[in-house]
Amino acid sequence: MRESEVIAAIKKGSKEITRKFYLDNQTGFTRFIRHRYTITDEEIEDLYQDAIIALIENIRKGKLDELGSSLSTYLFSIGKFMAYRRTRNILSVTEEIPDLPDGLDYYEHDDTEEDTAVIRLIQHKLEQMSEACKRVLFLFYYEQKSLDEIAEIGGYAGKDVVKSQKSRCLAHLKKLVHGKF
Amino acid sequence: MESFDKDDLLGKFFNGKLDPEEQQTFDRLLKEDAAFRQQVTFERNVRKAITLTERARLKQELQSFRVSKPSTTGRAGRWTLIAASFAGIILISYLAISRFSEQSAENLYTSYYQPYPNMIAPVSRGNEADSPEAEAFASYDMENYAGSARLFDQLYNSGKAGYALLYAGISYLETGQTDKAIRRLKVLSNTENDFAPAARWYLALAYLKDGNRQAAEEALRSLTNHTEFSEQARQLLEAL
Repeated sequence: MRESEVIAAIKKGSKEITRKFYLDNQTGFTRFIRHRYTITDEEIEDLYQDAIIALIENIRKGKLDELGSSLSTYLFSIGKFMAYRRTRNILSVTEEIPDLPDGLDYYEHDDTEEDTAVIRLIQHKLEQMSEACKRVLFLFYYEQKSLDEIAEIGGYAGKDVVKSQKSRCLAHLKKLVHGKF
Repeated sequence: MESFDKDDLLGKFFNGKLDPEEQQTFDRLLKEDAAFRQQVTFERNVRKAITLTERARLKQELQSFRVSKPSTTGRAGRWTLIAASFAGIILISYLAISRFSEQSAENLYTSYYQPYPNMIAPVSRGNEADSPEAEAFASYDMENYAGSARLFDQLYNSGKAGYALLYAGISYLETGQTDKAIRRLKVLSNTENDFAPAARWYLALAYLKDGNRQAAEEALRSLTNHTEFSEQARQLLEAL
């Protein structure tokens, strides 16, 4: 299976391919991180899952459509970046402070208690919304799809229809969150 | 008019598509326009909520993939692993061979080849991680073979460690520079070094990749009495 096919499959949400990719890279990743940071194996496993999640997020956002290096290399770079952020404890003093590979992003979301409560409330209220609303908001905010792309995926007449649908959903969610329903 | 602009700005912001000029306008509005600021905060929180929900779902899915906890493989364990992987290669090759009586050298290479495991570098914590050796093996483990080829060459040039030739050779096989691989493996295979048998095995494979069956056979014959490689060397000789 070529890398581009793996990317396409993960983008479509193929559990089987994601599983294979996950298992194929775990040993190498664990060895790679263990070798560089003071970190327990449990922490590495947690980190590995988060690195995979970050990779999947970037794949879904289309940021890896034009691959500059192998998917595993991206995964390892993300892992290195996350491990550094978490441990601030680098074994090699000569090594550069790692950064995410060019063009990739990942929001860490370290929050205050107050923020967490608001987020939980929004998560809860989102559950009460229509499937159509959830879908549009997911595609827009999570997958960072443009209005045109959402129109195509969701079978909407055009981007203006998506735009007003999104505004309606957002306004409705806001009212739900502020207890006006 | 102004409100349309704001909508577009917000949309582009969450799409990550603001150009520098729009970014300036966005920053200005964020500072001066309370309603705009409130909307940005709300939408950011929506993005966060959706993202965290999806991450939690994915995390659960990934945890279900877990077969066993990754563990430190000791030296004995590593040998078992190697033995097991060679057994696997042999079985696969046997199946392949029994199906096709005449195989191309390239096919044989593909069915027998897999990179030699990292037997040298310190993989556990507490070891020197910034030695040139560790750096080379880190690249090798990361499958960054162009990098590891260069680093193993440097390592060999500075210390003449035999294994550096082996791993440089394998790295060049991986990057498709078969001639460079052959040169390095040949030097090592003519020595009494502990890694000479491994070098002969990979040299045979490199010759196969190059389409040179005769040279491959010669290298393999020198291995038939060596415990680590005799079995697969015999298998491969029969297949040739």
